[in-house]
Amino acid sequence: MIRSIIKLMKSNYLFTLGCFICLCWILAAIFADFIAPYGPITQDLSIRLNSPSLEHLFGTDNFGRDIFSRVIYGGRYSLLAGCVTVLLAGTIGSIYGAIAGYLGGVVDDIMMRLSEMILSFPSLILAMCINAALGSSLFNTMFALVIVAWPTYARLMRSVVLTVKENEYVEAARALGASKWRVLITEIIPNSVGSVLIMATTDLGNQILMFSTLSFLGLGSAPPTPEWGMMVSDGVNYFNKFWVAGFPGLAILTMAVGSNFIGDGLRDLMDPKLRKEF
Amino acid sequence: MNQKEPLLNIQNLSVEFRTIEGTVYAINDLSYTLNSGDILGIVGESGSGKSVSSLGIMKLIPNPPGKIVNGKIIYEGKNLVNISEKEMEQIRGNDISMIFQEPMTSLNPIIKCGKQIAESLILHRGLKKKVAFEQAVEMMHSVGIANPEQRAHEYPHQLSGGMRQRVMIAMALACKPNILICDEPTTALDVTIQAQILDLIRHLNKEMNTAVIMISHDLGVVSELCERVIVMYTGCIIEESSSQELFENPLHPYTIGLIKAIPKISKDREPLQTIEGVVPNAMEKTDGCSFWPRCKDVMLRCKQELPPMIQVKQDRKVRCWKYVVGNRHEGI
Repeated sequence: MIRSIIKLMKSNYLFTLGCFICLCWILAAIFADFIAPYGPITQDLSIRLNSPSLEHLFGTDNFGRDIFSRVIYGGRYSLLAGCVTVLLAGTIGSIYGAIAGYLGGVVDDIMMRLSEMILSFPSLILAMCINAALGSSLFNTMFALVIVAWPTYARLMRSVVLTVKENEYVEAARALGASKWRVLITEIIPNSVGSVLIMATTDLGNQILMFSTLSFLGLGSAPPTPEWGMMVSDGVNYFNKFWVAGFPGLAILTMAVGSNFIGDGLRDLMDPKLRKEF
Repeated sequence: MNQKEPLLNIQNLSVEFRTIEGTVYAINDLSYTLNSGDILGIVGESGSGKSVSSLGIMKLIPNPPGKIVNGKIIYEGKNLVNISEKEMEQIRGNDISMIFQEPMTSLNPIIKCGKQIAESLILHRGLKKKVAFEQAVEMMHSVGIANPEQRAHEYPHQLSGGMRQRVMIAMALACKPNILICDEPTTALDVTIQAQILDLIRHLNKEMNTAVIMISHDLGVVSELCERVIVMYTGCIIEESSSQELFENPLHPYTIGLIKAIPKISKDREPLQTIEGVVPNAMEKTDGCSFWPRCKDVMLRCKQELPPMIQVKQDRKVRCWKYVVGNRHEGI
């Protein structure tokens, strides 16, 4: 597995680039205390809305806070929200979908109709509604995103399980006396998670975008938290000062693109038709 | 157990598949017995119900749409048709085990071979992981895998087809079951490997006294391995005999046709004989014998009444009106 990922990195430079970008952001978020030159909420009104300079690499915002430091710290919130959402939604969704697909019949019908109820809402609006109803906080936003995101995973997992469960080794395991649940856990789920993992890497970018969107709209985290989406939202008022909204926006963009590159690369690795030299 | 009491006794088993297009009568009134240590062959064309009958014994017929509608499967005094799923899980793999046609796909691709064999030992014998793994390696050795310690740590895709089928057999036999059902175990293998696997099955049958039900469409395989053979057609047994007699003196017109249709390697090659017509649609239940549209010796009675199972000799049964006293009867 590790060897094939290294091979993939050598041949697919977009994948390598994606890994590099994501790794940079993750490291920046972890070591923000050492990297950031200023505190994320340290105000200095004498230098408000200064353009980028050597002192303030990304310039300063309307409260005179260093945007570079805020972007570095902001990664903590955005990445945390993205990762937790993907992890929770992925786990819940795949287990749900695996059960539905494996049991089939009426159970499958009922379970999938339930999940489709959530899918039938526009996801952003539903997330906004849930978030607005619960009140805006980091936790509530993540909760809202999980609620919106899991049915997609459930559908994907179900469709994979439908093909995996027809494999002869599933029947063989049954013939050797494994119970239905044991087969589900030892045979079916491990053989199906591959595509869910790929979707999760791609989805990480989407979830960060969603989180930023909610923050931009005033839901999500509350000021003065240095969250990327909220920082973009702050910058909208100073349209001629491009750096205020531009740099946090760039951060969102690179993170989303990076995780998409990783997802695409992994998909190529798994897809035998696209797997040329692997 | 009483010497005369068979290990497995199937009585009047019927299996149906209820689909949207109609009911498929996959198995009709199937009865046979299996004694401990026997090797029983079941032959028939595709769709004759041979695989479904074996899945029926394991109670692995997908339900819905499949259902055992009638009959008994008696194993050690218990009727498997009626017992609960929990009890059945105890029997599967432990008392009755099964190997499948496709060694390429019957192993879980992401679990190491040794662990897969150990799995059923952990499940049924409650062994510790390490002990089970050691026994699995031993099992791999006894099914003729060279270098089992190393092979046990390999994934299925690293093994050849024959090797995988050996792993499959090791898995099935790990708990020393009384009955091993082989569902066309050599179909996907080439001829030399096929011979090795058959030898292995015969050897294990002798050594472990495991009764074997060998399902195949390949008469060569069956004649090589089995003592007793059942010929199935459209879910019915049409002939039951010792394997030697079946090949020397087949009785049912279908069996005669089947044996004639075996390709022979000889200098003066004749065109291959076939049985005219196709297997009838299993959705239609006919009153008469299901083979009459393809039969050369068809009589009026064949179209009207299903022939009974006729005992022509000891251990020799056939389902054909030709052999009923009062009808034309010759050839015995």
